[in-house]
Amino acid sequence: MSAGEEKPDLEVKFRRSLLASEKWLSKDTVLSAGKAVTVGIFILIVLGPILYLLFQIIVSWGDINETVFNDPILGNEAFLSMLRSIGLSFEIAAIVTVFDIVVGVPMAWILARYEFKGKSILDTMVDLPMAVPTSALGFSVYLFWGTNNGISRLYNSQVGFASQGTLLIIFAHVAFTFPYVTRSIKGIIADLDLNLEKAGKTLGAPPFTIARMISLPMVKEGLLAGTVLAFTRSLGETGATLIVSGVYQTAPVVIVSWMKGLKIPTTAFLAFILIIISLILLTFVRLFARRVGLPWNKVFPRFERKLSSKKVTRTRNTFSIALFLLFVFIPALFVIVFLFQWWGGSPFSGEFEAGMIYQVFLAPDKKINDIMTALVTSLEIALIVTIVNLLIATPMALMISKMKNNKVKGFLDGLIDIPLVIPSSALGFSIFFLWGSNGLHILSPGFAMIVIAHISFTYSYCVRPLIGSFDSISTMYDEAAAAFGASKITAFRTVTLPFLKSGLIAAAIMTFTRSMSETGATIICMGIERTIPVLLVDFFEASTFPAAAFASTILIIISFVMLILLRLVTRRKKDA
Amino acid sequence: MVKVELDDITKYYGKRRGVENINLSIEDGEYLAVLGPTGSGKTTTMYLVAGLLSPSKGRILFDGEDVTKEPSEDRNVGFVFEEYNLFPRMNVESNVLFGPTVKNLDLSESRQIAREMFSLINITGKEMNFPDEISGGQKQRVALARAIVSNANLLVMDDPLRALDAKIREILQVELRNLVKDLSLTCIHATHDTQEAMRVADKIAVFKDGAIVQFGTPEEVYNNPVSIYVANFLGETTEIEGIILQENNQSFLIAEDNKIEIETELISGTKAVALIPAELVDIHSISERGKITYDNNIEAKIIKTKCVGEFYDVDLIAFNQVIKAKELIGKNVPLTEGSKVLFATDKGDFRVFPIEEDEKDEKEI
Amino acid sequence: MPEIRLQSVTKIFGRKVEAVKDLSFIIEDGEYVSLIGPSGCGKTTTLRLLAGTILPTQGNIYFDNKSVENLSIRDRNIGFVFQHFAIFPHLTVWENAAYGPRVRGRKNSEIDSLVDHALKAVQIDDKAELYPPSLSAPDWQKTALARVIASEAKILLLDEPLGALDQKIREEFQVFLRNLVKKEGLTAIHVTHDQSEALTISDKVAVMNKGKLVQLGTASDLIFTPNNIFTSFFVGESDFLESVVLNDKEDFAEVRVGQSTIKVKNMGISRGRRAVVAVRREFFKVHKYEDKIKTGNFLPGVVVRDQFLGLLRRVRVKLENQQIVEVKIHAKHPIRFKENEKVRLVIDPSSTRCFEYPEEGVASALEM
Repeated sequence: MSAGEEKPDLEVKFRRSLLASEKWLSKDTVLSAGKAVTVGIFILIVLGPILYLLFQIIVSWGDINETVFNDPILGNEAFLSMLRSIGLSFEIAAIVTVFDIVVGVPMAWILARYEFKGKSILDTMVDLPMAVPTSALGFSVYLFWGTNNGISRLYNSQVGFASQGTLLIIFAHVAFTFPYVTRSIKGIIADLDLNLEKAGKTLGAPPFTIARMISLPMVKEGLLAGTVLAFTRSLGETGATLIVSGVYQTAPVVIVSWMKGLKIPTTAFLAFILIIISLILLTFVRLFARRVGLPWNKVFPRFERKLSSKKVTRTRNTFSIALFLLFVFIPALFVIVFLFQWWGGSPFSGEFEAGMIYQVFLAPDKKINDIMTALVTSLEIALIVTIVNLLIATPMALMISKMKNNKVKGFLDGLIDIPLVIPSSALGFSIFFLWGSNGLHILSPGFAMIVIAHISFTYSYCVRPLIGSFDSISTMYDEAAAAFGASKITAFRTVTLPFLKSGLIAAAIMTFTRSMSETGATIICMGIERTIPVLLVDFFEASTFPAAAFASTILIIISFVMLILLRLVTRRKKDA
Repeated sequence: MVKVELDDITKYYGKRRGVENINLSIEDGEYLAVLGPTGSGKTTTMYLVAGLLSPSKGRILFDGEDVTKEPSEDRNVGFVFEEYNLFPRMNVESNVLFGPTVKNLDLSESRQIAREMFSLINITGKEMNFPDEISGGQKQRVALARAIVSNANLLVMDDPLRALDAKIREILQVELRNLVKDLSLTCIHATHDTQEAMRVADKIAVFKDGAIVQFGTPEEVYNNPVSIYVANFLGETTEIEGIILQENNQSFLIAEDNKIEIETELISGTKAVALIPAELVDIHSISERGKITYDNNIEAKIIKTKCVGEFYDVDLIAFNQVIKAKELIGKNVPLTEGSKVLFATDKGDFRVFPIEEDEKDEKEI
Repeated sequence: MPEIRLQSVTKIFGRKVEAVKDLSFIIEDGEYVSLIGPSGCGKTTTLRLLAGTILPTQGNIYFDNKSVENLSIRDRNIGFVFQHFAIFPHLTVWENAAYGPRVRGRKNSEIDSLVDHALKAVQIDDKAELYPPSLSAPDWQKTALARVIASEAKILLLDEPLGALDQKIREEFQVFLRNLVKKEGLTAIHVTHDQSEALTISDKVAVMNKGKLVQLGTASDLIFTPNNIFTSFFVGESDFLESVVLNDKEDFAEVRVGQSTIKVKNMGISRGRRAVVAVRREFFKVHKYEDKIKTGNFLPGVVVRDQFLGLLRRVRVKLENQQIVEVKIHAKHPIRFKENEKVRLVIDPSSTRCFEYPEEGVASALEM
């Protein structure tokens, strides 16, 4: 450099100012402010509505007391019907969860442990019901079990196997909750150290005993988490339930219908109760999951040996797959069959006007217009929700992942799960309550309010996988970057972000899919614009089944594409 | 308490060979080391004996009884894994009592045996700890106790000390052998470490690419390695190439105009390589020439000396070649770099192998 | 080029886990020091304290007499090399090396010359444009070293840097690493679990146990003149004879071991005190009992086992006081000892060490 000091060129200048601003951003005070904002947004969007609801319940207890317990005409009838609906919801959720565990656990074992042709297809089949909007799923289940188009054809009956009501609700809920249990333990089972089982074997334990005494305790937490998820999803589901319930109304459906009747105080109280129940469940699981023991140290050698035999194992596996196909997969996708049955006319009368083509494309009120509008609305909402959530969830995930104080970390981590467990209609209601005319009076029901509601309940879906991604990046990269003088934000940009790519995409897909499929919260927060799952419910109520089947099929295809994308992204991550 | 026989055992994983035509017989109460590098079929053999794998061909006999078809849980083999494999959700005592529990043995009796084991292997006081609360050495001790308390009469260990630090390894080698002998168990112990194999075992089977290449007592194997491969695997050696000369009932290797006395049956003119293990190269000062009684005393120059604890590692130059030597540190010899010394060896120290031309070609490919 | 000084550094994790206790030592400018000790002895914690990724609970660390208490890891100007490399997989070898100067805002021409020098120094300049996933483990570690050199760090902290490499490559890498450090004039602190690596590669070795520094010295200090019982135990192999000092006046003190009296190195333990004599297993000479020997400095015993190991032979001998000691002899030692044969263990007093008897007992003093 003898030719005098050369002037730093533009690139260097830019780099230096970038580094300087990143250094400023990395200052402890600025970072703390950033953290405060992150938590602030979380509170505003997710916790705020819930807290406000709680606050209002206390403040206007007099009103509620009057409408719920001491109505001049109905007395405490409102409260009684609340209890009935909650009771029904619990009953259904309990039955559904038992099915999910009994069939889902062996299914997870099959998917994690066996190698066979078509395994990845089965794997996708198991996950699919989770991605498909529940209203489409509910409709499909209704067609399969509840009408003469479905299973009843097998025995030539003119009516469906089950009419709208409890049994049909259970069938519908089984279909969409099934993946939760399987998914939450499949990965854990696959990651279990097979050598532990080998050790158990050499010590004289048959396979069933090993699974029970060694493997199960290690998947316990995952199983419990999946169970709670399945349970709360069943407890809080609206879209499918609206279609299959008939007069038997579960609690979230009651919220929606009371909301339509503008019974605000009673709705508030019911939403409040549902939220409290979900929170108690969540707290219980988070605090006690590890401590719940499986107290069977007793071994029944002969019996367990029998259970371990190849014959029993094979029978169990066959049953699991058969039950999955009958109760989950076929009903969930039956709508596609229905669509083809009704493609160009009624399969019974042959009447062209009753067919899909006419209803959707040719009739004077051709449904394709509604479908396209609703689809665009849904896509817009999902896109906005995904972008906003990535922006607000990434700092939160980073913060939780890096947090050193385990108690605070656990607490915050638990808070993140709240939107995951509380019924979306209750959450939607509390957002309506806070932002709408009863609260801040900033928004009236419509597009913006739907977006906020969706951001709120998809928040967990975005943060969860991101926390996982951050946790999987070894701290040594950060330390290495720091040792070379990189500020925290510089290290984040240059080192962490490149590792995060697939994690971000996965989070985005999860968020997008979940937003696309929501019904309950949308109905409560919407104005005149309908999203496609809501449109489906409307089609159903108007009995335009073939049009509904067409819309459902579109939704199923979109979900399927999303699921395949998600698989590609997460698989690539594993290879790297 | 059991005699183990492997009768022509072969195991393929798909098309990949695990082991082929393994014939082994381990006497009741004998301690066998299976020695070989990673991928030589040691673990496969251990798993076959324990029934964690079933052979593609051949039979496994315990006390003459065919157990090839018996599942692992019925074989009563105590298995110790490289990575311990303690059950993470059970404390030390429950780990050790797992075997007796699932076999429905008398638990109070087993508890008594476990207690004796704990004091024998020095982990008394840790019974209620969980595996992640104890050190690596302690974990492997617990794993050993677990294998023995489950009523095993055959102990199979798959590189049990590999994951441990050198100091602990050295201590546990002695402990292991003593314990196995005190309880008169039959034992098969796979390891990649020659010194470990020599230290624990009565007999050694050397594995290469899924086959046994040599079998015998440690001393037999060490003194008469069957191939260059085995000789090199047993320790550090220097290879000296030359031509054989038989003369007056004496055998020599002519290398770079030097005549080295060796022991060999090869005829004169054969191209051969003589391997000399580093520890058999003795270094003496030049002044001792004539006072020492070695078969070969060759002048050499020290080019490098380093002390790594128990040995000096010395590099010598003799006949245009670097010769590796190891001297125990207790010996008083001048080992300064650059000094001239005598490189002293006996004819029996060399392991001589003919060089086959095509073999050499193969090497170059 | 800095001198590193630790002054009474203590690190407590959580409420009571004392990872490092009252640690004080000095590493001179340009020195290569290794830290060894059993796992959990605090060697990695010490390295992290120096790096600044954790802060001492008590005490202070000085670089060139300046306290680094308030310097974060970013401002300490250190280079950190990890066992698992921590090179950035999304950057090429060149970009990895350029990382330090880039984030410090150096000019492009400076970056070029720093990186070129660094890549040449570690001999990886031919792979500059490749991405790490296409390289092998030794190249990863070279890239990590190039990154440190280009960043102009003067203190190199190495955490098991060769731990993930194969044995053969490790030995070559030891020489390479030492030469590199010396040529670049770095002060290096190297944590390893491999004693022979530490003894080969460094100017000095620090032995640690249970969070404390046991001894800091050259390889030959640790092997031949350990100044405490743990070093004698941990570096190489020794036997420990419990004894009582009878005479402390001469160069060689007289001690009683069991029924016998032997001369050992006088290390200032006064008469009547209990002592532990440490003898390296290579330093015993074993003779048949009936052989004529010139010295009276021996302990009688009975052979338990004469074990042939190829590399050497180990003769286990039971002394009169029932203690079993082990002697390492040349594999070609002319005599094979039979079980129960009576022998004498001859001890050269100048090769012994004589330590104060530890209050907590020998076994506890050796606990790792």
